[in-house]
Amino acid sequence: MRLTTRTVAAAAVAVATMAGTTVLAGKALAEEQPPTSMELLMKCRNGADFCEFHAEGGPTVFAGDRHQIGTTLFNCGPGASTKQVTWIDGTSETNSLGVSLITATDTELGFFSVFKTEYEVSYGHKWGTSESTNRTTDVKVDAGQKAWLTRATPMQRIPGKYELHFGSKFHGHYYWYVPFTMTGPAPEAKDVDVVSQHSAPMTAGEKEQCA
Amino acid sequence: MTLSRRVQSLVPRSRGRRRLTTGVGAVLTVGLLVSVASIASAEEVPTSKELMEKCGKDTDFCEFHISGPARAYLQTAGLAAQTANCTGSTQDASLTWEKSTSSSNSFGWSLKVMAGAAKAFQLGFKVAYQHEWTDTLTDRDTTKMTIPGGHMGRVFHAREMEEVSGKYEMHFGSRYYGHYYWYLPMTVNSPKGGGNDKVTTKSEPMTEQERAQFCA
Repeated sequence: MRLTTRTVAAAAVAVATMAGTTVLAGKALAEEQPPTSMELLMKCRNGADFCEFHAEGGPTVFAGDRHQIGTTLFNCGPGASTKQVTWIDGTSETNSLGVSLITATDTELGFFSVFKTEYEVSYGHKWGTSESTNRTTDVKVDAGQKAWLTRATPMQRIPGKYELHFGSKFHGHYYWYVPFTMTGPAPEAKDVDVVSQHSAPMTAGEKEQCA
Repeated sequence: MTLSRRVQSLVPRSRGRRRLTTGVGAVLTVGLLVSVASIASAEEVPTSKELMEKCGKDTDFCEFHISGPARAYLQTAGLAAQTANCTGSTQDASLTWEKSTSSSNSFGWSLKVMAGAAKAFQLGFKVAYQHEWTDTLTDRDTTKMTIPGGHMGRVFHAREMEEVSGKYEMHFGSRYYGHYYWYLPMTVNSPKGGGNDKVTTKSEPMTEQERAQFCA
């Protein structure tokens, strides 16, 4: 659900702005293969006269999937015991294009820095490409019980679109708009950052391990 | 003297390339007041972002003048950490947290990537108050608290802030949007360097929704 692949969505939002396009538009549609979103974005700092990312509606903060962090503690007894769980949890950015960028050059990837600058201007702090949290949490475990921790990593989603202007027509148009959504860690989103302490009785099989 | 002066009132604006049009009342023109005023309503003015990008780059002069003393206040307490105790036992928890408090300004966007404007503000601040401005402060701590079984334990944190106001004064060698002088007011809220902070804890029974969300 995190990734939304939009391959040729860009074609639908191309806007021709030149005078005299009425006649040419029909012809252009038939002749011009629409570029993919990726082809367009790679032109951002690499051929386009103008390239900006416009965020739409600000970041949406959400909790990622809840998952176990650190190890499970077993208390074979007798008596309760308090132990420490040291854990590391992290996440990285993903984007709505969902394509591998390994072969692209730095110039072709200029659209990422356009996004990051826009983010910093809008929200006053740097975009975090990846984030990792490590902490130690104390857990008290009663005799015959097991305990473990879970966490849902705080995330943010920034939907928007790129606006590109070309000095000479690119695939039949001077202006192109490319929808784009970036998803990444939101370490400051404390309201969705909840560490949970869980416990349950040990199973018969687990108790056998105690001996 | 043919120089005209303008005070652009502060207008919150959405991002994008929309331009602002000032009302007649906002234009203070020295000289041809009547004829300028009559066309002013239709006149294009730069956006605050466009003006700030010029500061120290395409200007002969760009300074920020602080007006009056800084106002200190304690920010509204914000959540620093929370733990759901889904076990049946009372937990003596140590919540380790890290919380950053950043500055914000009345433009609604950050000056950080505009080196000239950011530097002019920091210099203006230092001249007025004789100490450096603080952009961001990060507090880290481990807070101990007791969380009964089935309760949420939460740590709240508030930092001492300060609010300063003033305005940018910019001079251009050649007319910029018809004027040599531009003034732009700005208010900045930022963490107070060397200021205090306050930590509070609270433990509450989980709601049904919290139990479903955090303990499942």
